[in-house]
Amino acid sequence: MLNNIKLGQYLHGNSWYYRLDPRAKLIMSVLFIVTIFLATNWVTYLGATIFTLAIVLTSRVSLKFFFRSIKPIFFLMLLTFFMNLFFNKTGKSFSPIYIKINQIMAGTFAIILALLIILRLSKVIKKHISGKIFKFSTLLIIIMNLVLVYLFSFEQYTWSFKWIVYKNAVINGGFIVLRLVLIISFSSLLTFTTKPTDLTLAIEKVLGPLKLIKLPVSELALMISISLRFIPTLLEETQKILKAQTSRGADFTEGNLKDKVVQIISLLIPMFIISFRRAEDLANAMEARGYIPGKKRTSLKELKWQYRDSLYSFSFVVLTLFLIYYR
Amino acid sequence: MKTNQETLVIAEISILAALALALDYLAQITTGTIYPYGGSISIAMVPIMVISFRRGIIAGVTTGLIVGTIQIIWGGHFLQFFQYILDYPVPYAVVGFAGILTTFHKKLSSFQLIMGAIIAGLLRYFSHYLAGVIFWSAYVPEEFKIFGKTLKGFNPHTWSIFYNGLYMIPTIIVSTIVLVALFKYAKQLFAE
Repeated sequence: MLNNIKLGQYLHGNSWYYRLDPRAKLIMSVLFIVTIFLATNWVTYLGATIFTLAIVLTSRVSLKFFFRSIKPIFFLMLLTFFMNLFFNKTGKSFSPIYIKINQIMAGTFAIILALLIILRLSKVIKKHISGKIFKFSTLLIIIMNLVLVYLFSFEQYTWSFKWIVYKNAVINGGFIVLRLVLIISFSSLLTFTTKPTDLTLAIEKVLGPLKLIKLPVSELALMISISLRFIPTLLEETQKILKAQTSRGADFTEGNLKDKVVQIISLLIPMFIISFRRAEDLANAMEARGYIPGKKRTSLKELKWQYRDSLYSFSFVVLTLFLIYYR
Repeated sequence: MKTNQETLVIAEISILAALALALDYLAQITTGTIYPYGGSISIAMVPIMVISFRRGIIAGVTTGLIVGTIQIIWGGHFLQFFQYILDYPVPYAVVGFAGILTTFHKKLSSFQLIMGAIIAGLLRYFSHYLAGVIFWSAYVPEEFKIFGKTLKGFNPHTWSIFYNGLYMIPTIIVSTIVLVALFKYAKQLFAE
Protein backbone atom coordinates (compact mmCIF):
# COMPACT_ATOMS: atom_id res chain seq x y z
CA MET A 1 0.00 0.00 0.00
CA LEU A 2 2.73 2.45 0.92
CA ASN A 3 5.53 1.08 -1.21
CA ASN A 4 5.97 4.00 -3.52
CA ILE A 5 5.04 7.08 -1.53
CA LYS A 6 4.79 10.14 -3.69
CA LEU A 7 4.11 13.21 -1.65
CA GLY A 8 3.49 16.49 -3.36
CA GLN A 9 3.78 17.22 -7.02
CA TYR A 10 7.51 17.82 -7.46
CA LEU A 11 8.92 16.22 -10.61
CA HIS A 12 12.62 15.65 -11.12
CA GLY A 13 13.95 17.54 -14.07
CA ASN A 14 16.25 20.22 -15.30
CA SER A 15 15.51 23.36 -17.27
CA TRP A 16 15.80 27.10 -16.92
CA TYR A 17 12.58 27.17 -14.92
CA TYR A 18 13.94 24.63 -12.42
CA ARG A 19 17.04 26.76 -11.92
CA LEU A 20 15.15 29.98 -11.19
CA ASP A 21 15.21 31.33 -7.66
CA PRO A 22 12.19 29.87 -5.81
CA ARG A 23 11.43 33.38 -4.53
CA ALA A 24 11.06 34.68 -8.08
CA LYS A 25 8.84 31.73 -9.01
CA LEU A 26 6.68 32.11 -5.89
CA ILE A 27 6.14 35.87 -6.20
CA MET A 28 5.46 35.73 -9.94
CA SER A 29 3.02 32.81 -9.60
CA VAL A 30 1.03 34.74 -7.01
CA LEU A 31 1.15 37.91 -9.11
CA PHE A 32 -0.01 36.01 -12.17
CA ILE A 33 -3.39 35.26 -10.57
CA VAL A 34 -3.86 38.96 -9.91
CA THR A 35 -2.67 40.15 -13.33
CA ILE A 36 -4.72 37.62 -15.29
CA PHE A 37 -7.85 39.39 -14.07
CA LEU A 38 -6.69 42.44 -16.04
CA ALA A 39 -7.30 40.52 -19.25
CA THR A 40 -10.71 41.43 -20.64
CA ASN A 41 -10.63 41.06 -24.42
CA TRP A 42 -9.16 38.67 -26.94
CA VAL A 43 -5.91 40.63 -27.45
CA THR A 44 -5.03 40.51 -23.77
CA TYR A 45 -6.08 36.86 -23.46
CA LEU A 46 -3.96 36.01 -26.50
CA GLY A 47 -0.97 37.77 -24.94
CA ALA A 48 -1.39 35.99 -21.61
CA THR A 49 -1.87 32.62 -23.33
CA ILE A 50 1.27 33.04 -25.46
CA PHE A 51 3.25 34.07 -22.38
CA THR A 52 2.07 31.05 -20.36
CA LEU A 53 2.52 28.63 -23.27
CA ALA A 54 6.06 29.87 -23.88
CA ILE A 55 7.00 29.24 -20.25
CA VAL A 56 5.17 25.92 -20.01
CA LEU A 57 6.69 24.57 -23.23
CA THR A 58 10.25 25.62 -22.41
CA SER A 59 10.04 24.35 -18.81
CA ARG A 60 10.46 20.78 -20.13
CA VAL A 61 7.70 19.46 -17.89
CA SER A 62 5.67 16.86 -19.78
CA LEU A 63 2.29 18.29 -20.81
CA LYS A 64 0.48 15.23 -19.46
CA PHE A 65 1.15 16.44 -15.92
CA PHE A 66 -0.62 19.71 -16.70
CA PHE A 67 -3.60 17.81 -18.08
CA ARG A 68 -3.58 15.71 -14.95
CA SER A 69 -3.81 18.78 -12.72
CA ILE A 70 -6.54 20.34 -14.86
CA LYS A 71 -8.57 17.12 -14.91
CA PRO A 72 -10.03 17.34 -11.37
CA ILE A 73 -11.67 20.67 -12.09
CA PHE A 74 -12.60 19.93 -15.70
CA PHE A 75 -16.17 19.27 -14.61
CA LEU A 76 -16.25 22.60 -12.78
CA MET A 77 -15.05 24.40 -15.91
CA LEU A 78 -17.68 22.69 -18.02
CA LEU A 79 -20.34 23.70 -15.51
CA THR A 80 -19.27 27.37 -15.47
CA PHE A 81 -19.14 27.39 -19.27
CA PHE A 82 -22.65 25.98 -19.63
CA MET A 83 -24.01 28.23 -16.90
CA ASN A 84 -22.75 31.12 -18.96
CA LEU A 85 -24.36 29.72 -22.11
CA PHE A 86 -27.70 29.38 -20.36
CA PHE A 87 -27.83 32.50 -18.28
CA ASN A 88 -25.76 35.20 -19.94
CA LYS A 89 -28.17 36.91 -22.32
CA THR A 90 -26.27 39.88 -23.68
CA GLY A 91 -24.94 40.70 -27.10
CA LYS A 92 -26.01 39.34 -30.47
CA SER A 93 -28.00 36.13 -30.46
CA PHE A 94 -27.30 33.14 -32.64
CA SER A 95 -30.20 31.39 -34.35
CA PRO A 96 -32.23 29.43 -31.79
CA ILE A 97 -31.62 25.74 -31.31
CA TYR A 98 -34.65 23.49 -30.92
CA ILE A 99 -34.06 20.70 -28.48
CA LYS A 100 -36.33 17.69 -28.31
CA ILE A 101 -35.96 15.33 -25.42
CA ASN A 102 -37.73 12.04 -25.54
CA GLN A 103 -39.00 11.16 -22.11
CA ILE A 104 -38.24 7.46 -22.52
CA MET A 105 -34.66 8.21 -23.48
CA ALA A 106 -34.28 10.67 -20.62
CA GLY A 107 -35.66 8.13 -18.17
CA THR A 108 -33.30 5.43 -19.38
CA PHE A 109 -30.32 7.73 -19.09
CA ALA A 110 -31.34 8.72 -15.58
CA ILE A 111 -31.54 5.05 -14.57
CA ILE A 112 -28.15 4.27 -16.12
CA LEU A 113 -26.62 7.28 -14.37
CA ALA A 114 -28.09 6.19 -11.05
CA LEU A 115 -26.74 2.65 -11.60
CA LEU A 116 -23.29 4.07 -12.41
CA ILE A 117 -23.28 6.08 -9.19
CA ILE A 118 -24.39 3.08 -7.14
CA LEU A 119 -21.76 0.91 -8.83
CA ARG A 120 -19.08 3.44 -8.07
CA LEU A 121 -20.06 3.72 -4.41
CA SER A 122 -20.72 0.08 -3.65
CA LYS A 123 -17.87 -2.37 -3.45
CA VAL A 124 -20.20 -5.35 -3.07
CA ILE A 125 -21.80 -4.93 -6.47
CA LYS A 126 -18.39 -4.34 -8.04
CA LYS A 127 -17.32 -7.77 -6.88
CA HIS A 128 -20.17 -9.52 -8.65
CA ILE A 129 -20.62 -7.49 -11.81
CA SER A 130 -17.53 -6.88 -13.89
CA GLY A 131 -17.16 -3.52 -15.62
CA LYS A 132 -17.22 -5.11 -19.09
CA ILE A 133 -20.62 -6.72 -18.65
CA PHE A 134 -22.04 -3.51 -17.27
CA LYS A 135 -20.68 -1.42 -20.13
CA PHE A 136 -21.95 -3.91 -22.69
CA SER A 137 -25.44 -4.04 -21.24
CA THR A 138 -25.56 -0.24 -20.97
CA LEU A 139 -24.63 0.05 -24.63
CA LEU A 140 -27.27 -2.53 -25.53
CA ILE A 141 -29.99 -0.62 -23.63
CA ILE A 142 -29.03 2.65 -25.31
CA ILE A 143 -29.08 1.09 -28.79
CA MET A 144 -32.42 -0.57 -28.12
CA ASN A 145 -33.83 2.73 -26.99
CA LEU A 146 -32.55 4.54 -30.04
CA VAL A 147 -34.13 1.93 -32.31
CA LEU A 148 -37.43 2.12 -30.43
CA VAL A 149 -37.53 5.91 -30.50
CA TYR A 150 -36.60 5.93 -34.20
CA LEU A 151 -39.28 3.37 -35.09
CA PHE A 152 -42.19 4.81 -33.15
CA SER A 153 -41.12 8.48 -32.72
CA PHE A 154 -43.25 8.89 -29.57
CA GLU A 155 -44.34 12.47 -30.27
CA GLN A 156 -46.64 12.63 -27.27
CA TYR A 157 -43.76 11.79 -24.91
CA THR A 158 -41.45 14.52 -26.09
CA TRP A 159 -40.46 17.75 -24.40
CA SER A 160 -39.30 20.47 -26.75
CA PHE A 161 -37.37 23.58 -25.85
CA LYS A 162 -36.18 26.63 -27.69
CA TRP A 163 -32.68 27.54 -26.62
CA ILE A 164 -31.06 30.78 -27.78
CA VAL A 165 -27.33 31.10 -27.40
CA TYR A 166 -25.92 34.60 -27.23
CA LYS A 167 -22.57 35.66 -28.63
CA ASN A 168 -21.30 37.22 -25.40
CA ALA A 169 -22.18 34.09 -23.48
CA VAL A 170 -19.91 31.95 -25.64
CA ILE A 171 -17.09 34.49 -25.49
CA ASN A 172 -17.36 35.04 -21.73
CA GLY A 173 -17.63 31.33 -21.02
CA GLY A 174 -14.59 30.66 -23.19
CA PHE A 175 -12.59 33.39 -21.45
CA ILE A 176 -13.48 32.02 -18.02
CA VAL A 177 -12.37 28.51 -18.96
CA LEU A 178 -9.17 29.89 -20.54
CA ARG A 179 -8.42 31.95 -17.44
CA LEU A 180 -8.84 28.90 -15.20
CA VAL A 181 -6.57 26.81 -17.43
CA LEU A 182 -3.88 29.51 -17.39
CA ILE A 183 -4.04 29.96 -13.62
CA ILE A 184 -3.89 26.23 -12.95
CA SER A 185 -1.02 25.68 -15.40
CA PHE A 186 0.98 28.46 -13.85
CA SER A 187 0.47 27.44 -10.25
CA SER A 188 1.06 23.77 -11.07
CA LEU A 189 4.31 24.70 -12.76
CA LEU A 190 5.53 26.19 -9.48
CA THR A 191 4.88 23.01 -7.51
CA PHE A 192 6.12 20.77 -10.36
CA THR A 193 9.51 22.47 -10.54
CA THR A 194 10.22 23.50 -6.95
CA LYS A 195 11.16 21.15 -4.14
CA PRO A 196 9.00 21.55 -1.01
CA THR A 197 12.09 22.46 1.04
CA ASP A 198 13.10 25.19 -1.43
CA LEU A 199 9.56 26.52 -1.46
CA THR A 200 9.56 26.66 2.34
CA LEU A 201 12.79 28.65 2.27
CA ALA A 202 11.25 30.99 -0.31
CA ILE A 203 8.12 31.47 1.81
CA GLU A 204 10.31 32.29 4.81
CA LYS A 205 12.24 34.89 2.82
CA VAL A 206 9.19 36.41 1.13
CA LEU A 207 7.26 36.70 4.40
CA GLY A 208 10.39 37.96 6.16
CA PRO A 209 9.11 41.54 6.53
CA LEU A 210 6.28 40.21 8.72
CA LYS A 211 8.88 39.68 11.46
CA LEU A 212 8.52 43.41 12.07
CA ILE A 213 4.99 42.87 13.40
CA LYS A 214 6.28 40.12 15.71
CA LEU A 215 5.15 37.21 13.54
CA PRO A 216 7.53 34.27 14.13
CA VAL A 217 8.16 33.64 10.42
CA SER A 218 11.41 31.71 10.79
CA GLU A 219 9.96 29.46 13.51
CA LEU A 220 7.00 28.70 11.25
CA ALA A 221 9.34 27.90 8.37
CA LEU A 222 11.37 25.64 10.63
CA MET A 223 8.24 23.79 11.72
CA ILE A 224 7.19 23.34 8.09
CA SER A 225 10.61 21.89 7.24
CA ILE A 226 10.49 19.49 10.21
CA SER A 227 6.96 18.45 9.24
CA LEU A 228 7.95 17.78 5.65
CA ARG A 229 10.89 15.71 6.87
CA PHE A 230 8.77 13.56 9.20
CA ILE A 231 5.77 12.74 7.00
CA PRO A 232 7.47 9.79 5.21
CA THR A 233 8.83 8.55 8.56
CA LEU A 234 5.37 8.58 10.10
CA LEU A 235 3.89 6.81 7.07
CA GLU A 236 6.52 4.11 7.44
CA GLU A 237 5.64 3.87 11.12
CA THR A 238 1.96 3.49 10.19
CA GLN A 239 2.81 0.60 7.92
CA LYS A 240 4.66 -1.13 10.76
CA ILE A 241 1.72 -0.68 13.14
CA LEU A 242 -0.72 -1.90 10.48
CA LYS A 243 1.37 -5.06 10.04
CA ALA A 244 1.71 -5.54 13.80
CA GLN A 245 -2.05 -5.20 14.34
CA THR A 246 -2.80 -7.47 11.38
CA SER A 247 -0.49 -10.13 12.81
CA ARG A 248 -2.52 -9.91 16.01
CA GLY A 249 -5.68 -10.61 14.06
CA ALA A 250 -7.01 -7.16 13.28
CA ASP A 251 -8.77 -6.93 9.93
CA PHE A 252 -8.58 -3.49 8.37
CA THR A 253 -10.55 -4.25 5.23
CA GLU A 254 -13.88 -5.59 6.46
CA GLY A 255 -16.38 -4.72 9.12
CA ASN A 256 -19.19 -2.29 9.84
CA LEU A 257 -18.84 1.29 11.00
CA LYS A 258 -18.29 0.39 14.66
CA ASP A 259 -15.55 -2.09 13.77
CA LYS A 260 -13.97 0.48 11.50
CA VAL A 261 -13.83 3.05 14.30
CA VAL A 262 -12.25 0.47 16.63
CA GLN A 263 -9.68 -0.36 13.94
CA ILE A 264 -8.87 3.29 13.36
CA ILE A 265 -8.45 3.83 17.10
CA SER A 266 -6.18 0.80 17.42
CA LEU A 267 -4.02 2.37 14.73
CA LEU A 268 -4.23 5.94 15.99
CA ILE A 269 -3.28 5.46 19.64
CA PRO A 270 0.18 4.00 18.86
CA MET A 271 0.63 6.64 16.15
CA PHE A 272 -0.03 9.46 18.59
CA ILE A 273 2.17 7.97 21.28
CA ILE A 274 5.03 7.46 18.82
CA SER A 275 4.59 11.01 17.54
CA PHE A 276 4.80 12.54 21.00
CA ARG A 277 7.82 10.38 21.86
CA ARG A 278 9.52 11.46 18.65
CA ALA A 279 8.70 15.08 19.43
CA GLU A 280 10.38 14.78 22.81
CA ASP A 281 13.49 13.20 21.28
CA LEU A 282 13.55 15.89 18.64
CA ALA A 283 13.24 18.66 21.22
CA ASN A 284 16.17 17.18 23.17
CA ALA A 285 18.23 16.91 20.00
CA MET A 286 17.44 20.50 19.04
CA GLU A 287 18.36 21.67 22.52
CA ALA A 288 21.63 19.72 22.42
CA ARG A 289 22.54 21.46 19.17
CA GLY A 290 21.96 24.85 20.71
CA TYR A 291 18.54 25.72 19.31
CA ILE A 292 17.01 28.69 21.08
CA PRO A 293 13.53 29.76 19.92
CA GLY A 294 13.44 33.28 18.52
CA LYS A 295 17.17 33.61 17.95
CA LYS A 296 18.57 34.24 14.48
CA ARG A 297 19.53 31.07 12.64
CA THR A 298 21.59 30.52 9.53
CA SER A 299 20.49 28.20 6.77
CA LEU A 300 22.46 25.38 5.16
CA LYS A 301 21.22 26.44 1.78
CA GLU A 302 21.25 30.12 0.88
CA LEU A 303 19.15 31.42 -1.98
CA LYS A 304 20.95 33.56 -4.53
CA TRP A 305 19.10 36.08 -6.67
CA GLN A 306 20.68 36.00 -10.10
CA TYR A 307 20.54 37.82 -13.39
CA ARG A 308 18.02 35.38 -14.87
CA ASP A 309 15.62 35.92 -11.96
CA SER A 310 15.59 39.65 -12.61
CA LEU A 311 15.04 38.96 -16.30
CA TYR A 312 12.12 36.67 -15.51
CA SER A 313 10.57 39.26 -13.19
CA PHE A 314 11.05 41.90 -15.87
CA SER A 315 9.15 39.77 -18.39
CA PHE A 316 6.30 39.77 -15.91
CA VAL A 317 6.31 43.55 -15.68
CA VAL A 318 6.15 43.65 -19.49
CA LEU A 319 3.16 41.28 -19.46
CA THR A 320 1.35 43.39 -16.86
CA LEU A 321 1.95 46.61 -18.82
CA PHE A 322 0.74 44.87 -21.98
CA LEU A 323 -2.45 43.74 -20.23
CA ILE A 324 -3.10 47.23 -18.81
CA TYR A 325 -2.46 48.93 -22.16
CA TYR A 326 -4.66 46.68 -24.28
CA ARG A 327 -7.51 45.97 -21.90
CA MET B 1 17.52 17.63 32.36
CA LYS B 2 14.30 19.37 31.59
CA THR B 3 13.89 20.49 28.01
CA ASN B 4 12.99 24.05 27.23
CA GLN B 5 9.20 24.09 27.11
CA GLU B 6 9.06 26.23 23.99
CA THR B 7 11.35 23.93 22.00
CA LEU B 8 9.23 20.97 23.04
CA VAL B 9 6.07 22.72 21.87
CA ILE B 10 7.72 23.56 18.53
CA ALA B 11 8.72 19.91 18.08
CA GLU B 12 5.26 18.66 19.05
CA ILE B 13 3.53 21.06 16.66
CA SER B 14 5.80 20.02 13.78
CA ILE B 15 5.41 16.30 14.32
CA LEU B 16 1.67 16.42 14.92
CA ALA B 17 1.27 18.49 11.74
CA ALA B 18 3.23 15.75 9.97
CA LEU B 19 0.89 13.18 11.52
CA ALA B 20 -2.16 15.12 10.31
CA LEU B 21 -0.78 15.19 6.78
CA ALA B 22 0.16 11.51 6.92
CA LEU B 23 -3.39 10.64 8.01
CA ASP B 24 -4.78 12.81 5.24
CA TYR B 25 -2.57 11.01 2.74
CA LEU B 26 -3.72 7.62 4.04
CA ALA B 27 -7.36 8.71 3.79
CA GLN B 28 -6.81 9.79 0.21
CA ILE B 29 -5.26 6.51 -0.90
CA THR B 30 -7.76 4.35 0.94
CA THR B 31 -11.02 6.12 0.18
CA GLY B 32 -9.92 7.49 -3.18
CA THR B 33 -11.06 10.77 -4.61
CA ILE B 34 -14.83 10.56 -4.70
CA TYR B 35 -15.33 14.30 -4.72
CA PRO B 36 -14.82 15.98 -8.08
CA TYR B 37 -13.49 19.33 -6.83
CA GLY B 38 -11.39 18.22 -3.92
CA GLY B 39 -12.20 17.55 -0.33
CA SER B 40 -12.18 14.16 1.32
CA ILE B 41 -13.40 12.48 4.47
CA SER B 42 -10.28 12.31 6.57
CA ILE B 43 -9.36 12.49 10.22
CA ALA B 44 -6.58 15.02 9.59
CA MET B 45 -8.38 17.38 11.98
CA VAL B 46 -7.83 15.06 14.96
CA PRO B 47 -4.10 15.75 15.58
CA ILE B 48 -4.74 19.49 15.31
CA MET B 49 -7.51 19.24 17.90
CA VAL B 50 -5.33 17.10 20.19
CA ILE B 51 -2.58 19.74 20.11
CA SER B 52 -5.16 22.42 20.74
CA PHE B 53 -6.44 20.64 23.86
CA ARG B 54 -2.93 19.77 25.02
CA ARG B 55 -1.03 23.00 24.41
CA GLY B 56 -3.68 25.67 23.96
CA ILE B 57 -5.30 27.50 21.10
CA ILE B 58 -2.20 29.26 19.78
CA ALA B 59 -0.35 25.96 19.36
CA GLY B 60 -3.44 24.45 17.74
CA VAL B 61 -3.87 27.30 15.27
CA THR B 62 -0.16 27.13 14.41
CA THR B 63 -0.43 23.39 13.72
CA GLY B 64 -3.37 24.01 11.42
CA LEU B 65 -1.53 26.80 9.65
CA ILE B 66 1.40 24.47 8.97
CA VAL B 67 -0.85 21.69 7.68
CA GLY B 68 -2.55 24.14 5.31
CA THR B 69 0.71 25.68 4.14
CA ILE B 70 2.22 22.29 3.34
CA GLN B 71 -0.86 21.45 1.31
CA ILE B 72 -0.25 24.66 -0.65
CA ILE B 73 3.39 23.67 -1.14
CA TRP B 74 2.27 20.29 -2.45
CA GLY B 75 -0.10 22.02 -4.83
CA GLY B 76 -3.85 22.38 -4.47
CA HIS B 77 -6.84 23.59 -6.40
CA PHE B 78 -5.90 27.09 -7.34
CA LEU B 79 -8.81 29.07 -8.75
CA GLN B 80 -8.91 32.47 -7.16
CA PHE B 81 -6.63 34.20 -4.69
CA PHE B 82 -8.94 34.52 -1.68
CA GLN B 83 -10.49 31.16 -2.43
CA TYR B 84 -6.99 29.68 -2.12
CA ILE B 85 -6.33 31.32 1.24
CA LEU B 86 -9.77 30.29 2.53
CA ASP B 87 -9.49 26.75 1.17
CA TYR B 88 -6.01 25.90 2.44
CA PRO B 89 -4.43 27.66 5.44
CA VAL B 90 -7.54 29.12 7.07
CA PRO B 91 -9.79 26.04 7.46
CA TYR B 92 -7.06 24.06 9.19
CA ALA B 93 -5.98 27.02 11.28
CA VAL B 94 -9.51 27.53 12.63
CA VAL B 95 -9.60 23.86 13.67
CA GLY B 96 -7.04 24.94 16.26
CA PHE B 97 -9.89 26.71 18.09
CA ALA B 98 -11.12 23.31 19.27
CA GLY B 99 -9.52 23.90 22.64
CA ILE B 100 -11.28 27.22 23.22
CA LEU B 101 -13.44 25.85 26.04
CA THR B 102 -10.38 24.80 28.05
CA THR B 103 -9.65 28.48 28.65
CA PHE B 104 -12.87 28.72 30.66
CA HIS B 105 -12.85 25.31 32.24
CA LYS B 106 -9.50 23.64 32.78
CA LYS B 107 -10.69 20.11 33.46
CA LEU B 108 -11.23 18.08 30.31
CA SER B 109 -14.39 16.05 29.83
CA SER B 110 -15.94 14.17 26.93
CA PHE B 111 -18.62 16.84 26.64
CA GLN B 112 -15.99 19.53 26.28
CA LEU B 113 -14.20 17.50 23.60
CA ILE B 114 -17.40 16.97 21.64
CA MET B 115 -18.29 20.67 21.84
CA GLY B 116 -14.75 21.65 20.85
CA ALA B 117 -14.69 19.25 17.91
CA ILE B 118 -18.06 20.49 16.67
CA ILE B 119 -17.05 24.15 17.01
CA ALA B 120 -13.80 23.47 15.14
CA GLY B 121 -15.58 21.47 12.46
CA LEU B 122 -18.22 24.15 11.92
CA LEU B 123 -15.58 26.87 11.71
CA ARG B 124 -13.78 24.85 9.03
CA TYR B 125 -17.06 24.25 7.20
CA PHE B 126 -17.77 27.99 7.28
CA SER B 127 -14.35 28.75 5.83
CA HIS B 128 -14.81 26.28 2.96
CA TYR B 129 -18.29 27.71 2.40
CA LEU B 130 -16.88 31.25 2.13
CA ALA B 131 -14.23 30.02 -0.31
CA GLY B 132 -16.95 28.44 -2.43
CA VAL B 133 -19.01 31.63 -2.43
CA ILE B 134 -15.98 33.71 -3.45
CA PHE B 135 -15.13 31.29 -6.23
CA TRP B 136 -18.63 31.26 -7.65
CA SER B 137 -19.12 34.99 -7.39
CA ALA B 138 -15.94 35.45 -9.42
CA TYR B 139 -16.98 33.13 -12.22
CA VAL B 140 -20.73 33.30 -12.52
CA PRO B 141 -22.41 36.02 -14.62
CA GLU B 142 -23.62 38.83 -12.40
CA GLU B 143 -27.11 39.01 -13.78
CA PHE B 144 -29.13 37.01 -16.20
CA LYS B 145 -32.62 36.91 -17.60
CA ILE B 146 -34.65 33.81 -17.20
CA PHE B 147 -38.35 33.37 -18.07
CA GLY B 148 -38.54 37.08 -18.77
CA LYS B 149 -37.32 38.04 -15.31
CA THR B 150 -33.94 39.51 -14.45
CA LEU B 151 -32.23 37.64 -11.66
CA LYS B 152 -29.11 38.88 -9.96
CA GLY B 153 -26.54 36.16 -9.58
CA PHE B 154 -26.89 32.44 -9.42
CA ASN B 155 -27.22 31.42 -5.80
CA PRO B 156 -23.69 30.39 -4.84
CA HIS B 157 -24.57 30.15 -1.14
CA THR B 158 -26.76 27.07 -1.29
CA TRP B 159 -24.42 25.35 -3.73
CA SER B 160 -21.42 25.98 -1.50
CA ILE B 161 -23.25 24.81 1.63
CA PHE B 162 -24.40 21.69 -0.20
CA TYR B 163 -21.11 20.73 -1.83
CA ASN B 164 -18.90 21.38 1.18
CA GLY B 165 -21.45 19.72 3.44
CA LEU B 166 -21.11 16.52 1.41
CA TYR B 167 -17.70 15.88 2.89
CA MET B 168 -17.60 18.23 5.88
CA ILE B 169 -20.54 16.73 7.78
CA PRO B 170 -19.21 13.13 7.67
CA THR B 171 -15.75 14.48 8.50
CA ILE B 172 -17.04 16.32 11.57
CA ILE B 173 -18.94 13.23 12.79
CA VAL B 174 -16.04 10.83 12.26
CA SER B 175 -13.49 13.22 13.79
CA THR B 176 -15.65 13.76 16.87
CA ILE B 177 -16.10 10.01 17.40
CA VAL B 178 -12.37 9.36 16.97
CA LEU B 179 -11.43 12.22 19.29
CA VAL B 180 -13.73 11.01 22.07
CA ALA B 181 -12.48 7.44 21.65
CA LEU B 182 -8.88 8.66 21.88
CA PHE B 183 -9.77 10.51 25.07
CA LYS B 184 -11.38 7.40 26.51
CA TYR B 185 -8.48 5.04 25.78
CA ALA B 186 -5.42 7.30 25.83
CA LYS B 187 -5.99 10.16 28.27
CA GLN B 188 -2.25 10.88 28.53
CA LEU B 189 -2.30 12.40 25.02
CA PHE B 190 -4.38 15.32 26.23
CA ALA B 191 -2.37 16.14 29.34
CA GLU B 192 0.77 18.24 29.13
